[in-house]
Formats: sequence, structure tokens, C-alpha cells
Amino acid sequence: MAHVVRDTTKSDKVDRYFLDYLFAEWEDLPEVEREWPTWEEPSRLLFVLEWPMREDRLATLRQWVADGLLTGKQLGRYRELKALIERHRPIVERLLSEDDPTIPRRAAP
Amino acid sequence: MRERTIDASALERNVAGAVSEWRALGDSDDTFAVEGMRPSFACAPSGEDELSALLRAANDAGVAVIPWGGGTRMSLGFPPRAADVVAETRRLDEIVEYEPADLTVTVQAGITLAALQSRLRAEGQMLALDPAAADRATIGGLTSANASGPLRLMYGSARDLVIGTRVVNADGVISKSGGRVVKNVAGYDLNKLYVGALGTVGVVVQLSFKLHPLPQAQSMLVAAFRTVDDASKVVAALMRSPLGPAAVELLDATAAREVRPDVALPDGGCLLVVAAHGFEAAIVRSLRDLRELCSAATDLEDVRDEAALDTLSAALREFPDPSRAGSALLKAAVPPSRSASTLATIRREARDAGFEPALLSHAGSGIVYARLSPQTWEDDAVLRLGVLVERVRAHARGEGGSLVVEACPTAAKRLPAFDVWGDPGSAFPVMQALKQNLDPKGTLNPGRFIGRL
Repeated sequence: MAHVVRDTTKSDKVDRYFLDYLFAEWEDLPEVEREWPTWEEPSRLLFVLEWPMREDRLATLRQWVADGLLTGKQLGRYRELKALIERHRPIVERLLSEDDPTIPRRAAP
Repeated sequence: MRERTIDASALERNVAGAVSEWRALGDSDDTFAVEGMRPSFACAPSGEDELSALLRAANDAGVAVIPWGGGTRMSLGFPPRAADVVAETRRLDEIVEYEPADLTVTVQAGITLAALQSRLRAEGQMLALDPAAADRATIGGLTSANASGPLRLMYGSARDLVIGTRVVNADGVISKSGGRVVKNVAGYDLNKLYVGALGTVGVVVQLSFKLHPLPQAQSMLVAAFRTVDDASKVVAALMRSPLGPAAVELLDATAAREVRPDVALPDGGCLLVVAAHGFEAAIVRSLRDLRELCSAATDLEDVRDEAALDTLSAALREFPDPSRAGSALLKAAVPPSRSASTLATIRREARDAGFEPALLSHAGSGIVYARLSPQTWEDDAVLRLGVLVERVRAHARGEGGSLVVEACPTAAKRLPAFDVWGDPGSAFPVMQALKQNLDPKGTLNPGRFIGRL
């Protein structure tokens, strides 16, 4: 049985719960936008409801960067993440910017 | 009280046949009362097929169903608009699949957390959830209430640990979700929809979790401080440091007397408990660094003995047990950097309102619990509670946070302006649309959730 026991440092948490997580969420956005018209209404509603949690996690990461808590390697990844976010931010704005996010938006038949 | 009169014979004819274990409840039977409302019937489906048949029949007949795990979080939420039938999950208590090598487990929703942890412990693993009342609380109930404990800081909450769900929807349809977000063309991963939804959009019958190895070594540092301000400086320094504690708990003097009666604290003093999990060498290093951070402490103690660690962990974990009779429990969520100041503000506001609170904060996670236990909850105390909730909520909002009343007398919940959840703001139309989509007839726990959904 493989046991991966954590070290008691913040570094592991930064990688797993912030950088890995945020990269996955932001990288997926073009695919989310492509598939959006095929999603059922609960899926779209939940995406809209949950998006602010990603922004909260990003804000925490920014604070840790400001506090100087990231390693050099992590800072490199953070810079890549920022570039990714800049590229994909317009997608989020399109998905969340409808007048009424509770109205399902489907592709024209 | 019974909110409405239902046609019992029609209900039994239409719904009771769906499940093998069904019984009528007497008019004075409080076993499954929710905020004073007594359901007419209780049933315990043997599996998801029976639960599915029950919900389909109840949904068709306009019958309100109250899902019931261990009953330890029934104080959460508004009084239901209707409560006709209780559906217990206690017979769904199997471990469906456990692969220690994969660090994953799939369980039925009615298994208690303690029973699951016992099985996992034998393999050197754990589900990293440590809420109160683990011996009675079911996995399904804890997930539906999104309950967590001190270890949330290191391992996250149920939202972070659930990797799959199987749910019976209000119309009886069984659905399953899990896997990566966009690889499933059916849409967004709906796992998280059910975490914290209080059983209002579906009854969770099966859950898959990611697991963690039991830590190789553990320790706690217990530090006493003259003032909350002294302790808050340590918490701030700790959260800005490279140290990654498993838990950071801050207790006022009243809560400290309950958790560590052997440590003498002045009124206005507080206790800081920092837990570390990891390799032995890392623990030793952490303790050394923590001691340096706590230079202003009046008393410092390393806790390394297993029995002492268990006792202290249990006391911290059980402090915010919402099922404790006679108490009100407020839970503020604020940015972690504001935990200590929020604790101090709640203490002042509570005293101004005539209460003597006991306060505990998961300071690293920004959670602050206030327990109020007056001699009696006469009308005046209920009104004072209403005022206190408004004031503390205003403070929490000002800090960018929120306040939920996890337990309080039913009389308070029936006050016109009393809101146990708080205003969800712009998210509410989305939540309404979800409820309308998944439970349009209001079959499941009607009225208990945010905005009385």
C-alpha cells in the first residue's frame, strides 16, 4: 500500500489545492464554453453558483504570493496561471454575464 | 404541532406500499419532530430502490418528505413548511467498495462516520472529516449539512473530499455524478450540488470519497494568552509563515474552561491550540517554530501523548455540536485574518445582549462558533438573540463573510425577521432556479433551506 505522508508545510497545500486546482479550472474553460449549449440546466446553474469559489481561492493565492510564501518554482507556475487567466477571463465573463443566468441558453436548433 | 392535516389513509395507500419498514407516529411522538413539527409517518427504506419508489409516490401525492440520517443536524435551517413522512437512511449502512491502494472508498449514506473511520483506521487511513457527533452522524447527513471540524484547515471540507455521489431525486429518479468536470458531456459535475444542500434537491444514497493516510506523527501546542489580541498576532504570523498546521483553534476563556479545565485563564484571556500532522522530524521542527511564534504566551504545553491528543481533539471537535440541547449555536465565516477580531466582537456583542457566550474559532479557516446557553429561553432571551444575530451578521458581512445560526430555539426561528441563513444576495435566483428544476413540487425538506426554499 502506497502511503504519501504530508510534510507540515504550506508548500504542499499551495501546489495541490491552489495551483493544480486553479490550472485545471481555468484550462477547462474553452471546453466548458463549447459544451455549454449541451449542458442540462442544473449543470449551468451550478457552474454559475460555484464560480465565485474559484475567485476566492485565487484571491488567497494572490495574498500568499504577496506574503512571499511561494517557492521559486511555484512563482513560475503562478505567472503561467496569471497568463492563462488573462487569456480565458473573457470566457468566464461571457458565461456569467447574461442578464439572467437562471435562463438556460441553448444553441439555436 | 402538525402544520397541516393530511389524509392518512390515502397517504398510506399511495406511499406506504413503497417501503418495507413503515410506521405511523403518534400525535405526541417527538422522535422525528423538526422544530416542533411532528411528521405523521416514519419509514426506513431498505435500499435505493425502495427510497426511489417512496419519493416517486410522495412526489405524485404532494407529500412532504424529511430525509433523516443520524438526526444530529436537524437544528439547521428554517422550520419546514410541511413534514409528512420521515425517510430514515439507517438501513443504507454498507461500505460498497474500499480500495486502500487507491485511497478511495464508496459507502452508502446511512453509515456513521465513526463506523467508517474504524474500518479505514485498520488500513492506516482516514476520511479527513472531523465534525462533532461522529458516532451518531451519518455520512449522508454530514455531507448534506457540509459539516466539518478543526482539520478542515489542512484537508478541506466535504466539498473537497467527495468524488462521486448517487442520489435519489425528488421524482424518484436515481442519478449518479462524478469524474472530471468537462469530460462528461452531460454537463458540469453535480457532486457538489448536494454538499450542503440539506437534502432539499435530492437524497444522497451513496458517496465516494478520497482518503488520506493517517499521519505518521501528530502533536498539539497549547498556548495561553492574556488577551485575544496577543493570540491574534500569533495566528496572523502563523498564517503568513511557511508552516502548514493541520488545525488552528482559538478559544475564549469560557470555551477554554470546557476544553482544557486544567489551564487557568483570566477573563479576557484565550487559548490557542495548534495541531501539526506529518513526519516526526517535521513535527519536531514545527513545534520548535511554533514555540518561537508564541513568545507572548503565559503558558505553553506540547501535547504528544496519544491519549492526551485524543482527549483534546475530541473536546475541540465536540464543542460546536449543534445537537446539544438548550443551546444556540452561531457560526460566522470570515476571512481567516479576521477570525480573532470577529471572536472578540461576538463576545462583546453577546455580553451587550445579556448572554455569556462560549467561543471557539477554527481560526485558520475563518470559522467562529459562539454557543449561548442561558438558564432559560424565555421570550426576552429569544428577542435578544434576534438582535444579537442581526448585529453579528452585520459585522461578518462587513468583513466580507456571513453568519448562519446552526441551532436555536424554534421560537426564535418563528420571529418574523429572524433569518437563520442570512441573505444569499445575487446567488438566490440561481438557487431558486435549481430548486425549481430539481424539486418543483417542494417534496424534499420544503422551506428549510436558504430563502425558505
